[in-house]
Amino acid sequence: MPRIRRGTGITLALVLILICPWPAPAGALTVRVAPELVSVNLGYHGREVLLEGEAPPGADVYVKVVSAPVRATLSQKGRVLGFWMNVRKVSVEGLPKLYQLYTPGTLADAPPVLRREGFTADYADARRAARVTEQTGNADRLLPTAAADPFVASLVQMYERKGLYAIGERAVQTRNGRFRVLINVPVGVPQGEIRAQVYAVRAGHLVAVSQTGFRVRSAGLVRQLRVLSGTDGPVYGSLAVLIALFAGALIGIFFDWLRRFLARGGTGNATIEAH
Amino acid sequence: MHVFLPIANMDLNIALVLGLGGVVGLLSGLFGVGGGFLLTPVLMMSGVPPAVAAASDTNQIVAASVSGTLAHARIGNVDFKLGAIILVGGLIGGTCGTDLVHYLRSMGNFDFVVKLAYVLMLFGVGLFMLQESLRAMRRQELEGPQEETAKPSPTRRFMQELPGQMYFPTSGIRCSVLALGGLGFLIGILAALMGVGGGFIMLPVMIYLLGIPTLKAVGTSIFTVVFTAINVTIAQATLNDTVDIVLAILLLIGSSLGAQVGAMLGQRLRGEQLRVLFSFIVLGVMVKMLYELVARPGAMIVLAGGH
Repeated sequence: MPRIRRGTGITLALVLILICPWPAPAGALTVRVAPELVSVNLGYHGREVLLEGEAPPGADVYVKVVSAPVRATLSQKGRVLGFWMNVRKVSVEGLPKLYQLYTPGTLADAPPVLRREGFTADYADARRAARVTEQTGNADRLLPTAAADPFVASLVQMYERKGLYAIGERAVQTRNGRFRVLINVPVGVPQGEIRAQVYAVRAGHLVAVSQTGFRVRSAGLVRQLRVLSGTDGPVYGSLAVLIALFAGALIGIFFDWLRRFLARGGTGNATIEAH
Repeated sequence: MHVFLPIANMDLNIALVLGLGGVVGLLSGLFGVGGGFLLTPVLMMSGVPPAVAAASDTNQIVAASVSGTLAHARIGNVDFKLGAIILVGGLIGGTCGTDLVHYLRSMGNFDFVVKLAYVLMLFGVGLFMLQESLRAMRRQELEGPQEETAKPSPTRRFMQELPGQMYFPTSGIRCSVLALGGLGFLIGILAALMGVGGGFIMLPVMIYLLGIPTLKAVGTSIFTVVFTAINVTIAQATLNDTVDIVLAILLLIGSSLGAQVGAMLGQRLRGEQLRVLFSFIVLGVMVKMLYELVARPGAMIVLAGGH
């Protein structure tokens, strides 16, 4: 009997050890994100995602948020016989559509070790992987870096205006070893996994790195329309036409009824004669 | 209040979109044009990607033109028989025109030549219509109200001598079926080359080459626009995935209402007054396109797409 009691006690202790949350070792970098899923529906107007956790003692926390690359097609204007026209068409691949940097102070104050991790004002890290292909007639040509740069820079500027590329200075707040930062998820964010890389820096040295992320997914009608448009274009197009035909006819019939109703009401000039 | 647009992947103010649709619908009901020349650039200025703006605009034109056709049909302004013949030619011309665009693009500088040709054509058509209708208005002031019968031009006389003559009671004209089909074919090719619906070309052709009274020409033109817009909407959704139904629905609510108001307003104007207004719009579009050609663009690199 005592043997059984001792066995039960050991089992209970093992169960307790397994079910109790394992405390992070002192000085470790832990990260949590909420919510883990951002749903894009008809009412989506951008939102914020909270990223928080514990930082090693005395360390500053920097956050880099990156999405998967999205292909974009651009036109370049030029002068032809004195007139401004689209003279080149290129496609940019490999450039993340979302790239945000969050720092506890100014970006200029970030230690040199973080520059290698992409903490620069010109988003050089994001731009490095971009490939620009020129479309000429039926052939495509990969542009060399010098020729590709203006296109990548222009696309980055467009993304910056939409808040997709951003630098959040003094956005990371740290108190009593806990940090928190609000990540802006603007309209136009690409669907899929958004990666958040968290860096802990002490005395100019990288002491810990952690990674988390959240998902952006369309929901409700937005999702249904996107799926239909992407998988069955003719059906989607026919649906768009049917809705337009129905709406146009409905409004036409309503106005006809309104005109007759007003004419019956004795407004006189509501009846229109054909010329 | 904002709404998220699934295909454009952005949000827009609902009132702004409804208002834009209303203005374009008004033009559609008044002149029988689609209005893509006006709406697509405004949507682009609001941040909608050019390709989505052009395709969704075409989708809403379906509703505005159906609404406008019903309004004009009710008052006997749509010549369905004549419109159907032009339409058949137009659809064949549009298909051939698409292949022609593909071929010409590979030769380089195609866009430049087409844009310049379009500006010159708009200038010619706009100026001719303005002069002609102002002259007609002056004549009316001096001699009193007259039946809208322009003197038969040599072109119209030539068309009346072609084989396959048919009488169109709604328009009150006799014309060759071959000539109508051929005109439709040419309009289809031009529409494909210019990347627009063709209402701008259709209306002057109907008035001056076929001799259709202005209001009947407006009604018949808008009837043909219904089918052109359906064709382009399905093609855009199939090939490019650029039709945003949510954007189109908001636009079409505004444009269908606007088209009704436009058709009613049109009834209160005389044929030559309508032609004067139309010529101003044609010249306005010409000036806008010319300005875009000569003024230094705000950005040298932009997202591709649009008309």
